[in-house]
Amino acid sequence: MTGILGWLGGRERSGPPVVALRVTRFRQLLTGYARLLDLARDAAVKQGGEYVFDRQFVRTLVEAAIDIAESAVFDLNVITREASLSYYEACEKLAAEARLALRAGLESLDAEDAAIPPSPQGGTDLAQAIAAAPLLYRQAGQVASRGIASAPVVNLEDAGGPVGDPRGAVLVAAGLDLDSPALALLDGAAALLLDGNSPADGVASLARQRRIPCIVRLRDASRRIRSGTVVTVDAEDSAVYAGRVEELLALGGGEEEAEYRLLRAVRRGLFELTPGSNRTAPVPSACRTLRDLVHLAHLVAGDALFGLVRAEAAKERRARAGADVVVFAADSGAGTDEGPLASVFVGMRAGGVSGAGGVTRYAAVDRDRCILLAAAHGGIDVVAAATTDLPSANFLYCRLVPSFGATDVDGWRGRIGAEVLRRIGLEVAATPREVSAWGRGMDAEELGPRLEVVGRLVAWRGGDTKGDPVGAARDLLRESGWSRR
Amino acid sequence: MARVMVVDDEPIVGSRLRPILERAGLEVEVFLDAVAAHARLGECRFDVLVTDLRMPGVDGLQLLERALEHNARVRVLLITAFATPELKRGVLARGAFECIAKPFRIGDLRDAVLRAAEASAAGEE
Repeated sequence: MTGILGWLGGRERSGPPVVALRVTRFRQLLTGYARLLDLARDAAVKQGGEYVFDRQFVRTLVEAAIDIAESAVFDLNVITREASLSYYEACEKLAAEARLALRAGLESLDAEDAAIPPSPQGGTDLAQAIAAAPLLYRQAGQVASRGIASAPVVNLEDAGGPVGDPRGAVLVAAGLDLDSPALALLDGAAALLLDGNSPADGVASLARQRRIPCIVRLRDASRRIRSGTVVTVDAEDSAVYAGRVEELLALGGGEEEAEYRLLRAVRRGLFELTPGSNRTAPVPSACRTLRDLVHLAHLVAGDALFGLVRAEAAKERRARAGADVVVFAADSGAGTDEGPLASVFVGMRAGGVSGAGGVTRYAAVDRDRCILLAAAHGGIDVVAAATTDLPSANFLYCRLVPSFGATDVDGWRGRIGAEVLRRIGLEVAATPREVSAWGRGMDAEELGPRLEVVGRLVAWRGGDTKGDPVGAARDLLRESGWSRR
Repeated sequence: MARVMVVDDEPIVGSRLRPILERAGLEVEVFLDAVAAHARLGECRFDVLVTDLRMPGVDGLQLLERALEHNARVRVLLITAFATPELKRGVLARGAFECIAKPFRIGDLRDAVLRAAEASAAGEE
């Protein structure tokens, strides 16, 4: 980038204290949102059935989500100088609803028969039959949906298309996403085995909804198990056997325990994102879940921070027209040629941004953290990242305006952006107002290339999409060198 | 066949553990009521006791003491939603074989029970 301008404080780039404080608050808010997503993902993994949890886990989950939402609302009010007080009321209402729903769910559990059902079959015979069955996997993957089933395999990775009738089969694949055409085969399948995926993803959720036993993260099932092989999937105990194990099949998959139903209801009330219509500006009173509220709070906080730094920069004569990036609120002497912001700039340059192009971007940087704010197509793009030596403290966050404006009524920027961000392994939330994405727990080497791709998306001015967001996303990633990684 | 007692006032623990432990060839008795479990420990020798720590009436530490009084070879696994390093050190010092935090992977707990059953069979008191 050219024309990078140190602002206020010259070499120290300290920025005015009020900006520095609000940058810190914004980071806190983003960190809180990341924790909420971690909670949601952890709860989804528990929903898969491989873990045994008790009611205390569900109680703690609800209180932790409420704590995060309350902190987010506080941070928002610091950033907006108490201009978002209505969020407190909305938060109180949603917290009360979540606690009420939890209490009702727990009372309903108490009212149910608490007897432990006897095992239909047990003892030495069952253990010997299981021990004698040829084992393909045990505890190798993660249970995403419980149950026991046996059938011939249809391997979806077979060259020339799947061999055999997928109805009633055990489907095996390297990985599936909610856009995979092969997902249609899930209806009527006996079970699903995947090399990749996660118990927390949409495919796992679909398998649970359809009560199809599913084990994910088996690593090599699609290379190891050939079409036509009869297998028994024990997704109660994360095991796969060659052949039919009649003794296991006789056990059947029991009804899921009431605690799993309670967890499902609680997750829906806390973590679903219900973006609503794009015709009206979202308001806190319309939020239906705590996730809705935290999401809205982080958008409003980003807008407010952008407004603040732009106003402060306008006061500063040195923030002249023609500067590409105004750097503010840096905590150390680090510049924009190292750390996460440097990776974003690499992507932006590769995407064709060599000068200001009439857009001033604002960046807070230090040695291993950055926040970049940029006006874009009637809204703002935001990139925030931390690339420390501690992977658990690292994150990548971005928010993109989903449309190029009046010439992009179909929202190609958002559609392709979301596809690209998903393909680089980020957790994406797409609403009519923005596309946002998160990546967490990666080391700096893993985050660097992703930041370059995000930089490319920020700089992207569109192109020939051919009406195909998946193809356009693939092209953009190929151009950025991602597909070679 | 090793005998295992599972005690937790939350039904999900027994209902999930029993079938998994039976598949591993263990004989399992499950109790929701810790008082009843306490009485049962005086009637019958178990090789492994899996018990929640906090329960109404009788807690997991009382069950641990009762089990060890009647069978010095019993191995006790305490499970708790309130695990801390201090708590873990404390219960191990009082004779527990392992202290496992809830939520736990069901396969991990099955493996711990099998290790405990082996240790019990090895006969070290």
